[in-house]
Formats: sequence, C-alpha cells, structure tokens
Amino acid sequence: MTVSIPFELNGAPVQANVCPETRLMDVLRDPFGLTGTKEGCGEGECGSCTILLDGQPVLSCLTAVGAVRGRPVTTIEGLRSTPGFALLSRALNDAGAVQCGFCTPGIIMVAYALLRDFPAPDEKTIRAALAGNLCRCTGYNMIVEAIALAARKRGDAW
Amino acid sequence: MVAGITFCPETIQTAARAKADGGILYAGGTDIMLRHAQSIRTGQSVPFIFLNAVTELKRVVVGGSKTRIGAMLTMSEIARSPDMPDLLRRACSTVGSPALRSTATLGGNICTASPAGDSLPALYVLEALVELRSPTKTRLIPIDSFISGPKETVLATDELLAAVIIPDNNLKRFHHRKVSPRTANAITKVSIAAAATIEDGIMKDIRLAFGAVGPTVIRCASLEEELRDMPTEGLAGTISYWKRRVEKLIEPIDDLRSTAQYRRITASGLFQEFMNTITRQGEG
Amino acid sequence: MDLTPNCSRADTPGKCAGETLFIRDMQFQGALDAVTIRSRSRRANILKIELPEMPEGYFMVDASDIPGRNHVVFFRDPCPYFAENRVNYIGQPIMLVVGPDIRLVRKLAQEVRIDYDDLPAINTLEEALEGKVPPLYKDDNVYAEEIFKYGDVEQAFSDAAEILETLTRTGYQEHLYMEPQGVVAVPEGDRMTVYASTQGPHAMRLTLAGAFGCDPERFRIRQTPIGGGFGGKIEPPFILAGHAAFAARKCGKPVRLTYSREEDLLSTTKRHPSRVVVRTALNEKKQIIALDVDVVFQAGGYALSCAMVLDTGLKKATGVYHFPAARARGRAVATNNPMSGAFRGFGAPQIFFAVETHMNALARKLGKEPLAFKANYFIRQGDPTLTGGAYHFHVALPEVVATVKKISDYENRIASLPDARDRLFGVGQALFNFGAPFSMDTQIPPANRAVGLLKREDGTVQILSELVDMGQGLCTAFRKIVAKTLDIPIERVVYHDVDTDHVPPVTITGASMSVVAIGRTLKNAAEKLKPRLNDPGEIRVIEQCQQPPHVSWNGIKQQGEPFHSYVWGAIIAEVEVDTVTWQVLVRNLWMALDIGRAIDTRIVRGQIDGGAIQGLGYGLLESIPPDAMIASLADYVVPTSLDAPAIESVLVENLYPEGPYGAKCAGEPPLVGVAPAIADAVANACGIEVARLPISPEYLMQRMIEKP
Repeated sequence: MTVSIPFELNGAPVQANVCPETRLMDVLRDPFGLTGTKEGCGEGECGSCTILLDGQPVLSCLTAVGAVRGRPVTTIEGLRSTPGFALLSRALNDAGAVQCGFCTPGIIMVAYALLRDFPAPDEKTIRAALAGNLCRCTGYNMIVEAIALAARKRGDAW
Repeated sequence: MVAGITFCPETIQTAARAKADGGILYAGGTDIMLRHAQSIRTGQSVPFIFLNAVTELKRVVVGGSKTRIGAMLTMSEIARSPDMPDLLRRACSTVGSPALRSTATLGGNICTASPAGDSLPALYVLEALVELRSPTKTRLIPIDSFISGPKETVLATDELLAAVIIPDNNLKRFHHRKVSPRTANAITKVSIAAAATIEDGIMKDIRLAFGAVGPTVIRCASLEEELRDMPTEGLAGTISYWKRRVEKLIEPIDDLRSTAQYRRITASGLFQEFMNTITRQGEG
Repeated sequence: MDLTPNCSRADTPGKCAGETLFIRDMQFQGALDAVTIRSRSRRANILKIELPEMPEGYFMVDASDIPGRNHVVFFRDPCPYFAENRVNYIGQPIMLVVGPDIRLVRKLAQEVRIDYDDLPAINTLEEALEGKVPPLYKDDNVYAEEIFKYGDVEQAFSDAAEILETLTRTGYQEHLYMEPQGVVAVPEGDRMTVYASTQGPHAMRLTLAGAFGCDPERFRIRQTPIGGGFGGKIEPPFILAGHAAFAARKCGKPVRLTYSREEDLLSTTKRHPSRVVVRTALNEKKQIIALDVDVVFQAGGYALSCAMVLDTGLKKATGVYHFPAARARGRAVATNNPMSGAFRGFGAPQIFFAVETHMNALARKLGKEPLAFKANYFIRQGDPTLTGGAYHFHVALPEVVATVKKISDYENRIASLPDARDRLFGVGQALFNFGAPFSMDTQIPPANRAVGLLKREDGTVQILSELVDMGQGLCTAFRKIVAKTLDIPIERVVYHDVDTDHVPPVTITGASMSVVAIGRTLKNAAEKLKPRLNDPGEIRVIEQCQQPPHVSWNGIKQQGEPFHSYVWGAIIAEVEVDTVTWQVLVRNLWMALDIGRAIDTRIVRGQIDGGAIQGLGYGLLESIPPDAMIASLADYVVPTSLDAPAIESVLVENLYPEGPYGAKCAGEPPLVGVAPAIADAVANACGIEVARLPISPEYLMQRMIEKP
C-alpha cells in the first residue's frame, strides 16, 4: 500500500510515496538518488548503509521508511558541505585510511556523530563506536588513527 | 494485503487495534526487517504498524518500589540511563552494534523471544514483569511466563507489550557476561546474568540465568534454592558440585554457531567466574 | 618527484563523499534487473522445471540462450554458465529471471519450481579421495595433481633415525569484499559493453567472446570502481558477465545483475580448505635430512583455477627452508560444494600454516629455541628451488628475523609474560616468503602483454594499463613510479578506470605481480617517453612485458625459476587465552617484511595492516561449515575494530634489481604468516599443538580436554 511519508532529508522537507515497509536505504538510493549510502549486506551486519536518524547513527537497511515519518534523516550527501566532513575526509586521507572506499561513507557517518558528541574520544571509545562498521581492506588501525587525528584538529568543526 | 490499517498510531489502543486487524508491530525494526526481508524485497510485505509515535511507550517511571520502562526504549537509551538497573544496562550494552542499539528496543528484544536475546537473562534475574495491553484490557505477567518457547510468547493477537516493570530488590552484586564469536557485534553463544547478596558470610540471596543454552532463557531456581543461606566460605571447595548442577540444568544444543559441549562447559565456567568474583569481594 | 613522501590517493575524496559510483550506484537508461535461479540440490539430475506465467516484458534466460558455448572458457576444465541437466553444488546457476521491476523479478524467481533426482554427493575432501561415492571428475575426483622434488627423499626417510609427522587442516575463507558482485551488460548495436566490478577486464572480454563464439572486439569491458577484491573478483565476475550478456542479447536492453550478500556468500568462490601432511626425517643428531609434504586442496563442483592455486602454493612447500632433500605432492579434488578459487595468498596460507606448524612443533619436541632452530635451515642465496631453479638474490631472512625480534622485544617478552587468573599468555612466531610474480614459460614466445603511456596535448600523462585498483593503491603506486621516472609532479600523471577499448591487455590484477613486474614495464615505458615528454601533440608509448633475464621456466617440465622474486617476512604474535571461554585475544602483532623498496610506505602499511587482520580472521574467527553452506554475515564472523590489535611493522630494505626502484610485492605477503604465528602463540600459551584453522574456542576447548 503506497502512502505519502513526509520526513526531513538532509535538512529539506521531502515526501516519499512508497509502501511504508520499504527499506529506508532503497528509498534514499532511488527515488532520491542518494547513492552514497551503500548496501554491503542488507542484514544490519556491516554498517555500510549507516545514516543519521535524529542525529544518531542508524542502519538504513534495517529501517523501514515508515519509521522515519516526521524525523530528520542525514546521509553522507548531507554532510558533504559541513566542516566536520571536511575535517574527517582530510584525516582519512592523511592517515591512509581509505582503500576500496565502499565502507567509507558509513564510517564517516559514525565518526561524525562520535566527534560531535565526544570532542576527545580515546582509542577505546573510537574502536567501540566503529564496532558495527566492517572494513575488509584496512585492518581498522589507520581508520582509528584518522579519527583520532580529526579529533585533535577538531577546533570548532562542530 | 490488509487495507486501511493505521500505519502510524499515536495511542496504544489504536496500535493494538491495528495489530488485531492483521498488521505487524514495528518497534525498532532491527528484527522485523530481517524476518520479513524476503517479502519486503518482493513487495509482498504485510503492513507494519510503526510504534515510534506512541509517546506513552517511551515513558520511564521510577518509584512505588518499581521501575516501569516503556517498551520502546532503545538499547542505547537503557544502556546510558542511570535510572535503569545496572544489570539491565550492562546486558543492553552488549546487543549488536552501536547503530543497531540506537534503534533496537527493549520491547522488541523481549517479543522476539530468542533464547539468545541479550536483555532476557538480566530480565529473568530481575524478575521483570511485562505489561500487556489490548484495546480493552491490561495484564501483568512475569517475563518467564510471557516467553513460552523459542520465538514464542503468550501475546494475544490484539495485545502489545507496553512496558517492562522491574520490582525493586535487595540484591547487591550483579554480574553479566556474554560470550560471542568476536569481541562485539555478534550473536550470543552463551551468556550469564546473575545477582547475589552476601551478609555475615551467608549467601542471603542468589539468582542465576543463562542465555542461548536452552529453548528459552534458563533460570536456575532449584540451584538458587540450594545455595540460599549457605555459608559462602565453603563454596569454593565444592565448586565442582555446583558446576555440575549448572550443567544439568541447562539444555544446550549444537548449531551453526557453537556446540552443546562448548556451551555446557562455558556456562558452568561463567558460573564459577561469578562465584569466584562474589566470594572474593566479601560482604555486600 | 621523489618516491619517499607518501602521496594522497586521487580516489580518496570521492570515496569519502560517497560520490564514487560503484556498479550499484550507476544509472542505465531502461535497464532490466536479473535474478539468478540456483540449484537447491548438492548433486542431482534436473527432472523438471516449472515456470510461472511471465508477464509482458519479463524473460527467462537459460543455457538455450547462449549463442556459443555453455562453458566459461577462461578455465581449462568445464564450467557451465547455466546447469543444463546436472547440478554439482547448491547455488549453481540454472537460469535467470529478467524484467523491469526488481521486486516482481524476485517474486517470479521464487515461483520457479525445479524437481531434482538427488544423487549421492561428495561433501568433503576425504569423501572425494575415498571413492565410495561415484566420482564427480574423471575416475578419481582429482582436478589437478603435481609433484615437485629435489634430492633423494625416499633414501633420507629410510635412513632416518626419527620421523615427525603433522597433519593440519584449514577451512574455507570468504573474501568478504564489502561490495558484493555486480555487472551490467549494455547492448550497443552489434557490440556490447559490460560494466563490471572485475579484476580481469581483458580476460572477461575474451571469455565472453568464447561464450558468444564471436570476435572479442564485439565486447568492450569497462571496469567500475571495485569495492574490494582480494582475488574474489577474478573468477565469479566471468560468470556474472556471461549471464548478464546473454540476457541483454535476448532482451535487447541493458541488464543489471547484482548479488545480494546472501547470494554472494552462498555461491561465490572461497579460499580452498586444505589437509596437509608434513613429514620430516631426522638423523641421529636430530637434524632434518628431508621434508615430505602432501597437500590436498578441496575444490568444488567445478575446478575453476584450482590447478593454479595449488601450483603456486605447492612451489612454496619448503617454506623458508632448504633441506638436503624435499618433496611436495599436491592434489586438488572435486566435491559437491560451491567452488573454491583465487584468494589473497593463492595457496600459500594453507602451505605456510602446515610447514610453520610442523617446524614449531618439531622445535618444541626437541626442546630448541624455535627461531635459532629454524635458522639452521634458512634458504640462502644460490640455494635451489623445489623446481630446480635458484634463489638468485640476497635472502633477507636473518635481517627480518633480527628486526622482528628487536621491535617485539622478543626474548624479554617471553620471559616476562603476565600471570593472571583465568588467562594464559603466549608468544609465537612464523616465517614466510612469497614468490611473485609466477614465471611464464620461457620456452615459448611471450604472449602479447603490454602497458603504456599516453602523453596528452595538455602535458598530462595517462597510464594505459588494464590493471585495476580495488583499494590496494595500485593507481597511486603506478602514478608514483611514472612521475618519478619522468621527474614530473604526480598530479600530471592520471590513471582511469579500465576500458578495454583504450588499454592493451596485460594480465588479471592479482598474484602480487602488479608493481614488481608490470610496474617495471611501466618504468621502461616512462624512460622511453622521457626524452620526448615536452614534444608537442599526443605521444603514445606501448611497452611489452618481458621477464627478467634470470628467469628460465619450462612449463611442460615444470623446471626452472617458479617466481621472479621473493619477499621475506617474519611475524611475532602475542596472545591471551581466556580459560573460561577459550577465546583467543591477539594483544600485539609485529611484522618485519622485506618487500625490496616501498613505492609508498603508507600504502604498504595499508596492505600490511589489512592483510594481517584478514589473516587474523582466517586464524581465529572465520568459519564456514565443511559443506560451505553459509548465507548470512551474522554467521560469518570477520574481525571488527575491536578485534584488531596494535600492529607494528618494519620494512627491511633489500632491493630487487629487476623491480621498479627495487620494489617487489606487498599485496599478498602480509596475510600469509599471521595465522601460523597466532597458532604458535596459542600452542605456547596452552601447552598443546594447534592443528587446524580457524582456532575456534570450540576447537581449543576440545584440545584442552584431550590434553594429557
């Protein structure tokens, strides 16, 4: 049953005319064309599809679009122009933390929320925050270093 | 397809009615989206009833010798709330990944009724009650009667789980450990939730529950009974006996994730670890 | 430019911003979606197929839609695109459903009913060798067999005062590239363009031409950004490309075929499970006088490239050691399981686990310090290979061992291991080498394999190469080599995703050969371009790949230098074992590696860390049942950020004169020794021998119960 579901997408009010059971990820990718949200597993195990819902990292493959009615959703596209994103992407570059890049948008979503809420996370906190984001290329350490680097240079990015 | 179901109710009554009409309750979605993945992918899903607008389900009330936790509280909300019992906080913090915990709810974890559900052993130890609401009635039942088997509950078609009630208790020591294939973000192979009170060298109270070693969470009432009022001093010397008792009470199986042998031995090892911890710590 | 500073990778900003378009992210006007219908039987004759009624615009595609041969011609042995009458494994493709609405396509696919006449199946490598069940391949189930040897092994074993035998087993490992498989085939007049997440664009073009029975020029392959490969995007994409191309031909529209994770886990290739028996003959002085290795790899329902994986693994069967006599026998056997295939390490992880486990067990048995014990047998420059060639260049084993001992504070660490309730601690080590690239037959004229450079009007230099960057940093390494040789800023050198219409064939990206061999060819091209760099207009330099002069290889006799060069490495692992749960926590890993020269140390560190954690997963966590039935990431557990220990690595410089600026390879070696080092640490911590991977808590508990 198709219904109209209003929500806030990357700061703008939008309507999705779909079955409310549709996965949020599918709605984001098509019709909204926001393909920065990646499907790595479709079962909530890999974190590649992480978005922010009410500002918190959430798995868009395990979220039905009906659940986001009236709530703010942020994807990687919505972060692109923020100082926090600029800081994180530079740190990921400088730490050599991006290889195939398929997991990277999901990791940035998590790191963004982490540094917003915890200005100076220790290594353990960073690792715990990343525990739901699988990366098969880097072995994680360079990603952890990148986030620590971004935290050190955080300034007033948030 | 069931037409005309309210997909975003704002009251418990409307939600319960929509459920009676054939909808499926959607709390955090993390389990239901997996269970219905196939039908969602083919566009054949039964309608979901989204509970996030039912504000009453998000309420927490502390007082009157109990804590009442709305069923829609998420695992991360519980894990970080100082109002919540420590044991439950610890249990909820071991569920899945951080992003999963931001949406997965306590009510959902209970209604999924998996023997590996991570909040459950803690709720059994805390002797939680669940509040079930239909459009017309409310009933309160103990968690261990609510869950009737693996993935089975006594929830009626027109009922929803509205809240979890944790009676106050005099327990002093709490212990929780989850064993899973990796450090975090993995399904439980075996877990323990336990609590005890030791006074004047006597085990005044003890409660034990194990996850993923039986069709439901296993609470060890007969063993607790035996241990109650025992002097703690001699327990270390007779630990093999108590471990054997644990091994007899649980009913683990072989599956893709582990073996019955591993679960049995590990469960009794977790019990020993708990006993070591509490007896080492002394009074309290 | 200078090689020393690390370079920013051109692909990083787009990947961070989510702007990089992987195959799933690309739009194709009017594209149809395809879903594969797969065998639900392990081994059967197909009796009947019942199709649902197909709505307008929806199609079935099966073997009858293949214009040429129903065989993936890349492989020597038969491998059909679609099963016709027989199925050999669960998950084998039988047909496709294709149509515009993916949800309806999935629904139709669910409604296809197939009746099977089930036959007795071969589930394990033991069953394949026993022969109780009618064979799947020829009369013995052996897809490939070979023996390498030097010295008189039989005599040594009959003279031996003592013989030690170990038997090790390893399980499947799934690549788990984060981007599941996907291709899109687009018919364009009498040509077809296939967009694919593939490690072998030109090989895909030739393979498709074989299936269509047409001129390869009719196909154009465009590589899309690859979300991880590790060898897993060599073989399966050939099959997907065929499927999508047959469907596109039938429907006359673009056809997209992308796998769900479930489908990918169930049906794509994995690392070969193995059973390896290692025997050493000792004389009265407890010295090893001969080594005998017997390797069995479990392949699946079709052979794919198992002969190559076995071959490159088996050629490393003496490990880093030279003995008076050595023999290695290898077999790859057919089972009714999903197909095993190429995976980072290419046969070496299984072999090194077996050989290092044996050497470590022997050292323990003899009461010797293992690194000193092993040093008695180190390969030295000039020693023969198993195939009668020689190790031509300096062997940096003593240096890597000394380095890894130093950075790990090895002796002190062992002497001062912590003591804790419910915990056991141990330190372990493993040594490894990695030969790459494997040699081509030097008796026959070299094939046409080339890379090139295109100096464009605007002064930029484009690298013309079919090698792909799947995250390993190849584009950056190549750009750096070219920029250094031309002495221009790296920004002036560009590398595009591969388009077979614009770059010459060279090789599949794999086997760690890119930098050491193709990078060298590219450097030669740059040297030729350099004097003309400032000439006006476009200048194209194409350089043929040649093998270095020290390589002589007779492919028929299997004699000569099996590999051009060797990486040498040493790993030390420190573990903590929980005696309640028997879970192993790796506290630290140290690795010293001679890769010649690092073209970019940050990229190399990415390979070391990533390879080490993939190796850690292989050693401890990643478990698939023997029947390979796995369909959920909830059940296939790979390391997370919380499972990754600190990794300290040091590069030992030992330049390879034939590599570009002395470089060897770095992609595969870091994975190879990790699991054996962890296994040794666990053995030391627990006082047992570890004989299988992964070292699951269930296995370890069982070993401790059996411990005398």
